[in-house]
Amino acid sequence: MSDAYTLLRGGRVCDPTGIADGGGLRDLYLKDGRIASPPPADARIGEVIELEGRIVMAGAIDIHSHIGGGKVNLARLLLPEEHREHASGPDELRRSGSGLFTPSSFVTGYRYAEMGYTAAFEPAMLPSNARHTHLELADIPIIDKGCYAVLGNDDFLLERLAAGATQSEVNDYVAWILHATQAVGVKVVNPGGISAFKFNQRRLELDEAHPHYGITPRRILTTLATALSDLGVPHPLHVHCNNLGIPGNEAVTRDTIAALDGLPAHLTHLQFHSYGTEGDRRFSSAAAEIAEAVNRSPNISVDVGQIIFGQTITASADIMSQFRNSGLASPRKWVCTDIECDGGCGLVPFRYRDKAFVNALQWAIGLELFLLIEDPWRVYLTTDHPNGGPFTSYPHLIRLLMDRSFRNEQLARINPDVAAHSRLGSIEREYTLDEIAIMTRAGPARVLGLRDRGHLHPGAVADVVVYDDLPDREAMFAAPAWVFKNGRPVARNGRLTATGWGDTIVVRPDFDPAIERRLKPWFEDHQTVRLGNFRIADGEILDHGRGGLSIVPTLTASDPCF
Amino acid sequence: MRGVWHMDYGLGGIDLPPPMSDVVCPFCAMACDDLAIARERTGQLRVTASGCARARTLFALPALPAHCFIRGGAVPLDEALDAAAGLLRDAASPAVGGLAADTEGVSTALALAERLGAVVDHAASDSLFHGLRAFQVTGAMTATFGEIRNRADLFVLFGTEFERHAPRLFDRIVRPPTALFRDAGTARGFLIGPGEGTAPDGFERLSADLTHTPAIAAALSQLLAGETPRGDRVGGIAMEDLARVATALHEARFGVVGWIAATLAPADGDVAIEAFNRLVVTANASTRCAGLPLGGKGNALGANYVCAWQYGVPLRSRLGAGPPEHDPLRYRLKSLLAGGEVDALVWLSALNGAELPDTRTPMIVLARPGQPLPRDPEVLIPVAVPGLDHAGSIHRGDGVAALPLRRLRTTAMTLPSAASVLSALLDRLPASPVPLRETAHV
Repeated sequence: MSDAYTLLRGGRVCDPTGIADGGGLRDLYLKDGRIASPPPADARIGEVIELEGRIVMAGAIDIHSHIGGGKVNLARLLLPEEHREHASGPDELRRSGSGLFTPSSFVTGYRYAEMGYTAAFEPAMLPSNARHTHLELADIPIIDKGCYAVLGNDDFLLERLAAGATQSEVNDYVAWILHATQAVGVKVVNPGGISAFKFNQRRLELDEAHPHYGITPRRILTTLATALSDLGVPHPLHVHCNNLGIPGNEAVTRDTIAALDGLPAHLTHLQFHSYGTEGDRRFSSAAAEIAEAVNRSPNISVDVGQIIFGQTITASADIMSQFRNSGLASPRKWVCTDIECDGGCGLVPFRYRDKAFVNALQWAIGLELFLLIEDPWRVYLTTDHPNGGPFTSYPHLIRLLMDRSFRNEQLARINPDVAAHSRLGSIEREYTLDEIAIMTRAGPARVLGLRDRGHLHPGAVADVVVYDDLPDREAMFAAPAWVFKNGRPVARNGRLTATGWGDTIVVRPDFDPAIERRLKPWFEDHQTVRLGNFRIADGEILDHGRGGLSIVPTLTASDPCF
Repeated sequence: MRGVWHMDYGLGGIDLPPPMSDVVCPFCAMACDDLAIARERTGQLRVTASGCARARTLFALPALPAHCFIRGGAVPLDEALDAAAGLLRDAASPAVGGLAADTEGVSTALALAERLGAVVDHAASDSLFHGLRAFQVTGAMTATFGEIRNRADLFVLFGTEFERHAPRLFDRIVRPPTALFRDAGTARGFLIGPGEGTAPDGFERLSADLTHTPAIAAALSQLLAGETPRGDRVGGIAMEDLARVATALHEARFGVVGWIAATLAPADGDVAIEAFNRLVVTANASTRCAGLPLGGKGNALGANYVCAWQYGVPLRSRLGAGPPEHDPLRYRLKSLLAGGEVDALVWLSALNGAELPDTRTPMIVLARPGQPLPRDPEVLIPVAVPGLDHAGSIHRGDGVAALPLRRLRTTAMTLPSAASVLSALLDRLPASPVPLRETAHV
C-alpha cells in the first residue's frame, strides 16, 4: 500500500461503459492497485506518465483460451518440434520457456501481458483434472485466470438425470462442482456425446437418446443452463455444441439456440459450428444464418474461434469429434483419452492452409460471424487458442476486423473458390476502437460477472493499457506503449518490464451441502479418487504465494439480467 | 482443537487421535487415496486399512532425527547449504537428477537447474521415456483408472510382476468391488509375458518373450484388421492363441491393452509401446479399446509434467543455458554420469524410487531419512517426506488426477521440505542467469 497516486495524464480514454468516448483528453489516477477518483488538490502524486493523447483501455480479457491443464500439457509433450523452434532463455526478469501455440506457463503470462491482456480463462477444466489445472495456472505469471468446469458428460449427472433428479438437485451438484474445483463457470462440451462415444457411438444429435441413459443432449443442455441461471452464476452456461466441424452442423447450432428458449448461454468457438452443405463440395458458410439467429437472441453471447493460417494443435474435451477428425492430423500423431467417467481429452495437430478450400472457408466464416453479428457486447474475440490459432494472433485479427482494405487483400490470397464466392468481400463493416474495447474488455467482463474489470471507473482493478494510435492496428495492438497490472507497470512498448502474480477468479453460489451425502458414496463406489481428495482447498491455491483468490459475486434478483 | 490434540500427544496422552482416513499414498504411481493411517504413541505411522505391502513399510519408517553431513561429518544445515552452493558455483556441467518429490519439490529443483544451466532428469525416466518417445511418434489412445474400473470388460496385459509395479491394480481397477457398466468383482483377460504360475481368475497366461513385444502387438493388429500374420508363432505365442486374443479384443465392448513399461525390453520399449498404440487405434475402428500404461514411482510422471508446463519440454533437457534444450538421448542422466560428463550432481530423493546413482561425480543429496547411501556424498541434507511430513501434491500414473498430500506426522524435530532446502540453495547462488556458454555436454 502506498499513499501516492500514479497519474496517467492526458490519454484518450476508450471505455465503452460510459466513462468516456475516446474523444477529449482525460487523466487517470491509480492507487493501491485500483482506479482512483481524482484526488484532492493536496494529494501526493507519485509517478506521472504523460500519455500525450494515446489511447487508454482497460486490460483485455480472453474469455476462452486453452492455457493450462492436462490436455494442454499433453499437447506440449506431443510436439517437441514446436518447442524446439520457439524457445527463449532466461533473463533478469523472465524464466525460460518455449512454444508458440502451446506456450509454457511462464511464457503464456509474459506474452499475454505484453499484448495488454490482463486476464484469461481456461475453458475446459475437467473436474477430475482440476487440481492439475490449478497447479499449472499457478505458474502463469501476471495475468488473472479462471476456469470453467466441464459438465454434461459426467456419469454422475447423466445417471441422476436418467433417474429423474429434480432441477434443484442438479443445481446443488453444479454449485458443489464450482466450489470443489475452484471454477468460475461451467462449460458443456458436446452434451452427452463424449459419454456416448465411450459406448461406441460415433455421433449424437440434439434429440437423440443417449445409448445408455436414454436422455437427450437437449435435456442435458437445458438442465445445466437452468442450473446456472437458478444459482445466479454470472457466466451463463458455456456451450460447445454437438457435431463440431461437421458440414451441415449449423442446423444443430440453431436448434441449440432455440432449445435454450431465452435462457442465457454463451456459445463458444461458433465458427466451428456454422457450416452448411451447399455447393459442389457440400461444405459452405452458414455464417449469415447463424449470425441472424444470434442477432435475434439477446440471451446468447458467442465467441468466434477464428482460424489463423499455419500450424497449430486442436485440443478438446470432445473426443467424439477429435477421434472422427484424427485422420486429418498433421503431423500424423494424435491423442484421445477417456477420462474418469467425467469427460475426455482429444489432441489433433493441424495445419490450416490458406490455399485449402476447407481451411480458407473456415477463415472466411469466422470473419463473417464477427462482422454480421451486430452487437459487439455479445461477440468476443477468440481463436479458441490453440484450436484456431495462437492467442498471439489477436493483433492480426483485430486488424482484419478494423481495416477492410487489409481484409480484402488477405481474402484475395486465399483459395480462389472461396475468395470468389464468399460474401466477406462485400461486407463493408469495420470495427471501431470502441467496439474492439467492448469485444475484448467490457463485453467479456460483463458476461463473466467481473464487476471491477473491463472498465476504468474509480474502484476498478487498475489493469490499464495504453496504445499508440497507429494506423496499422496490428502493430498498435501487438505492442502497447504501457501495460499496468494492478496499478503496476508490467510492459512497455510490447516488452515485459516487471512480473508478478494475478488472481484466480472463482464463483461460489449457495447450495445445500446435503448433496455430499449422495456424492460421497458415488466417489467411493464409482470413482478412483475420494470426495475429500477431489475437492480443492483454498490453501492449495493460496499457500504458494502466487496470487490470491477473487470471488465473483453471484447475481441477485435486482441485478440487470444479461 | 489441533493445539489441544498436540498437547495430549506431547504429554504421551492416553487418547490417541482416531486413524486418519482417505490418506493418499505417495509411494507409487497408483497413488491410492483410500488408506487409513494411525499414529502410534511413538509418533510412528501405521497403515490400518487399504495399503499394499510397500505402503505399510514406508509409512511405518520412523521419522529419524537426522543431521546434515559433509563427506560423512555432521554439520548444521546452513553449513551444508554453503558447501553445496560452493560446489555448484564452481561447476561447469551440473545436473539435477532424482526428482523423486512432490510438485513443489520438483518445481524448485527445476528452478535451481535453470539457475545453474543444468541438465534435468528423473531417476526412473527410462520407463517414462519408453512411453514418451512412442507418444511423440504415434500419439496415443488411453483411458484413466476410473473409466477402466467401470467399463473395461477385457484386459490384455503385457509385462510381469504386476503386484510389484502396480500394487492393488487388480483389487482397485481390474476387479473392482463395484462398477457402473460391467460386472463387479470379476474380470477376464490375458497376461502376456514371461511370468509363470497360475493366472488370476478369469485370466489366461500366454507365456511370451517380451523382447518380441513389438512383433506380438503388430501381429495382434494384423489379426484385428482381418489380415493373416506370417508364421505360426510370434514371441513364443502360437498364432492361434494370439488370434483368440484378437477376437476377444474385437468382441469386447471396452477392451484394455495395458503394459508395465519397466518390464519391457530396455532397448526398444518405445517401439513396443508404439505397437500398442497402433493396436489400440486398430481396435477402435469397430469397438472401444484403450491403452493403459502402468508402473512408475517417485512421481516420475508428475516431474515430467511440471517440466513440460513450466518449460514446454520434457525432462532430459538442459535448462537455463539459453533456451530449454531437450534431447532424450543426449541428456539421459545415467549416460552422462557414466561418461563422466557431469561435474556436480544435485540428487533429489524425497520419495522412494530414486536410488543414488553409482558414480564418483561430486554429489549433493537431498534424501528422505532411510534412503540407502552407497557412499558418503559430498553434501547430504535430509528432507521431509511429502505426504507424511508436509502437504503438497503428486500425479497419479494415468496422467489426469493430481492428488493432495497431507501432513500426517508432527514430530518434535521436523525436517525441512525439499522445496525449502532448494530455495535456500537458490538464494545462495548468483541471481543473474548463467551466461550463455558453449555446452559442456557434447
